[in-house]
Amino acid sequence: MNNPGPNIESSRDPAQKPVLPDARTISKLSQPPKQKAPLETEKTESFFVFKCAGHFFALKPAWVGEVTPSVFVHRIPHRSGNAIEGISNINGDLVPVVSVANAFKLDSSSGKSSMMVLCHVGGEKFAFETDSIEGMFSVGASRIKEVSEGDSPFIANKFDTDNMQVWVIDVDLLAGAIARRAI
Amino acid sequence: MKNEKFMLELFLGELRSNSSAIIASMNGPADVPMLENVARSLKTSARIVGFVELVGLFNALEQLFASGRALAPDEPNAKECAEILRAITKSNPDEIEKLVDSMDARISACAKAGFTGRIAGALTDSKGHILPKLSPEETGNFESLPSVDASMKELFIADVSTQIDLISNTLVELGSDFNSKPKLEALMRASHSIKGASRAVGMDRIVEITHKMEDCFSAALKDKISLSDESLDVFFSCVDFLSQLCKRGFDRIDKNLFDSLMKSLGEVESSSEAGASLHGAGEQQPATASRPVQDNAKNSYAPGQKELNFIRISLSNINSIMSLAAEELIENRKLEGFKEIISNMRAENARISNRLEEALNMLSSPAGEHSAMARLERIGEDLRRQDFSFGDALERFSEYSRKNVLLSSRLYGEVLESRMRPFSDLAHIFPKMVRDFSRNLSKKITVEISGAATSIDRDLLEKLESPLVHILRNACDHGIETPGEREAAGKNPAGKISIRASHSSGMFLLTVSDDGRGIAVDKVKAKILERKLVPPDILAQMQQDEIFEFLFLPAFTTKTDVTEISGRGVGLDVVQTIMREVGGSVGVSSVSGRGCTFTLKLPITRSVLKALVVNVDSQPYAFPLSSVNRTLMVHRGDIRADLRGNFFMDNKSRINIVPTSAVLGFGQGLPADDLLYIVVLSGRGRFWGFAVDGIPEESELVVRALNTSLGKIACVSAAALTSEGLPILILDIDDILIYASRYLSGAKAELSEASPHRDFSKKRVLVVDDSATVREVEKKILEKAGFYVDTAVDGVDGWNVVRLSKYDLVVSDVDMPRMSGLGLAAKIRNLYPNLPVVMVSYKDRPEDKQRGLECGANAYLTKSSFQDDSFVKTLRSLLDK
Repeated sequence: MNNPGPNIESSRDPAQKPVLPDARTISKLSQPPKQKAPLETEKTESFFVFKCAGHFFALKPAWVGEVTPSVFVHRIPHRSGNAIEGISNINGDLVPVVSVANAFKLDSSSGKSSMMVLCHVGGEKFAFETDSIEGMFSVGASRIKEVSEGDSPFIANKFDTDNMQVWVIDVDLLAGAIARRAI
Repeated sequence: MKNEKFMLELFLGELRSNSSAIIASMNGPADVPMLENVARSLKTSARIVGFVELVGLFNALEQLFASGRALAPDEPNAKECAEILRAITKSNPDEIEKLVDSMDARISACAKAGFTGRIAGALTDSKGHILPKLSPEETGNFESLPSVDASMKELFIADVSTQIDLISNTLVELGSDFNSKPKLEALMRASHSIKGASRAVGMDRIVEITHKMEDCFSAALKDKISLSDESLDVFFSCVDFLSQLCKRGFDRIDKNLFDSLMKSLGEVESSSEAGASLHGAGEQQPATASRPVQDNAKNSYAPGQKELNFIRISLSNINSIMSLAAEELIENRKLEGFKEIISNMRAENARISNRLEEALNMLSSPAGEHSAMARLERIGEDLRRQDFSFGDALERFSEYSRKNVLLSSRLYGEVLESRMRPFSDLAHIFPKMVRDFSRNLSKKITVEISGAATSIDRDLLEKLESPLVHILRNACDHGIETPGEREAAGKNPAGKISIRASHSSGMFLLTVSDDGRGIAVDKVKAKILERKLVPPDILAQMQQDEIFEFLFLPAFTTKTDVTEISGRGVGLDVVQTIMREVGGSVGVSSVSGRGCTFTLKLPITRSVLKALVVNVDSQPYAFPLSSVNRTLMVHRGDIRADLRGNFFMDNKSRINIVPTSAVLGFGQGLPADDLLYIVVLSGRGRFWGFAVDGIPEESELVVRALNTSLGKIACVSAAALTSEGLPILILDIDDILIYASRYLSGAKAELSEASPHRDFSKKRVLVVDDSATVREVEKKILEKAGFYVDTAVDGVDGWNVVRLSKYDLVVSDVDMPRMSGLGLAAKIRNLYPNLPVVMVSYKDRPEDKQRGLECGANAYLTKSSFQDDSFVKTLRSLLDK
């Protein structure tokens, strides 16, 4: 599987960094995007953006339940290197934790995950380990691009914003692959 | 056409799950597009298994639904169709071919006649009046019961169930004394209670039957009639009838059975008037009523058929939970007070700190030294006061903490109690069951139950049903002798089975003893030798209990005859498997000629597990305590090695040492420490020492299921949380022993979880179809032709799978839920322009084929292509391009 995209963190303008959700407490992400909508009148779509292994990823807000500080992940026997990193106790639920680095075959040595994003997929819960939360972004439809051949199959779309290239995760497909033990 | 059994099973499965929708549509608004798809899918499946007449029938149904019409309830051919479908769905894979053959003429006539139908959505009578919706599925011989508010129905069912249990048990007791006035009164009252409850919810049919039962008991009480075994059969049939209704939620009644029971009750009631005593053997039984009892022995005791949609918790239990929860809430509010105390202390500390700083500043000037000293003394006093306040707060908080822990523990205990049920909830079925078995076998057997109030987790109680039914069936059939044999052996002609439940050492202990002929050790030995399980010299040294262990091996039986009662394919191996699944065990002992005793031991609850918590690679794991033989500390110097791996000797026993970390797939060897902590398990014929990181700790864990998307995790059975809230994985002992065995045999490469073997030299084909039958047929044909085949259940699943793995070709159905084959083909064409797609459909019109090809399919075949080699030929030609 190819990497979703290059690490372009160095080219980002820190001044344009959007408002971050409170990392100390669990945030309910039901509020509208904090990023202003593009000036154009075109249709926009909201995305929840986070960073992992030096890359920026996005989730559709409908998938996202909560953001929590990173907690202990219990590894699963005979599943090392899989997309599922292990299980964690998140608010009393034992939730499978997805390693974005493993799922997208990225080098995870760049940093320790600090936050977890809890997603609800077809009645099941998954948590994504992340390095940092970038916040909610509103993106004009014209900037949302199709994936190219060679991109990871778990990427639904991609877009550029604030000098970041962001990869939108196809959570449905990823959950399906996990259930089929395909990754 | 001779089909393989699994194909017929698949077809029957599809027919069962789909035909009810067709039948139900007769009596309510119908979703005709859905029904059209159902009929079409069934037509294809019928064609595959070669039921030509059924193909015609489903074709006729498809035509009807395609015209936007549904089956009309007053149309004779629709009724005939429903009857045919009902009859076939009741069949089984062994009989279906014969049955369909025998019904060929009927099916063919029904298909030929076709259906006029009615406008979907409206259900009318012959005069065009809208009819009320009847039963949700069949009508036939069934009559719908009035619908009742859900909460009211729940209460009604609970009420009737209680009375049925009472009637059932009292009837068994009445069998030994037909004239017992207290028992007859109890039966009359129970029948009267059901009648009253039924009247309250408008269940007139139930009122009728229980009224009749009440009349019978009343007549017996007044000595107007004499009851007998035969009349008891009639009452038991009524009990079964009512029990079934309870299980099905009083949706409908079988009118034929109802009429027959009413007739039989009438005969019981009028028995004295007719001058025909029902006493004594040899007299004619009421044929209509005795049949259901005969059937009971065959059908009603097939375990696992219970449908419990709700649970009952005692009022005192729920009241206790509520009061403890309220108390907990109040206690928790006290935390606010502590917060305030701590906050005040902090403010006081800050004040003291400021004053100390001021005093220190004053000390720096000679003039302020005196006043600084005075100030420091006051600060000292303040600190002493503060210390006292801290002590006081700590004491109050400790008291609060102690009380809160106690309260939480009581609350937890009550919640746990709500999961518990008395053994009597299961045991109450056994007296009648044994009675039915014994009557079928012409034996006299009584059942004695003790410890019925012993509580056990409701899940475990349900798990106990199958093993107990099996053991009782065996006892009745093979254990207890016939009355003649017993008398010849100097025994009471009536056999006796005793069931005893108790709690022992934190476990639920159940013994089932019979006073029958016992187990013939010689026969068991002969069977062991015949199957060459053990050499004769070793067998000669074995103790009796070791020899009886062989009885729990699969397909091990000393019986050559299979009877209706005990020849049901569930052996003692299954009993043992179920017991092991729940963390329990089963054993047997016997004295020849005097009987046999089965002992079942299982945890009282599976919610709480006594476990040994260990760390492996700094991750917590738990060994179920019941599986742990012992724990040891071993010096590295005591460990030896040979060709069979590392081991040490303990009490002359060889204990193989394995690093738990490596067995769990984390690839580490034995810990480097000089002192190793070992958890000893026994299994697979030897002792195993699992090396862990530190001293194991005994703990009680609240067991939690793992997320289903994780599937079965190797070596893990469940999870729990530590007191700090960290996840713990509970080890699956059978599994971990297998992995340990593989580790010792050097099969490290096999230690990772087995993934499906994929032969990449083969061309890879993805088959997408919503019919399990079609999927299997296509898979079988393609695998036989040398392809590697994966399957997907609909268009969306197919689209996900095709993006997850590389395929050389996709075979897809056209009509599927969620995403059609046309949509799938279009998506594939867009992303994978070179991936061939073959559409396979029942639709053979040129315009259908055109649509398929326009959407991007490379070939379009009909499902009749399965009958010849055109399907495989087409695939090969596309792959060779």
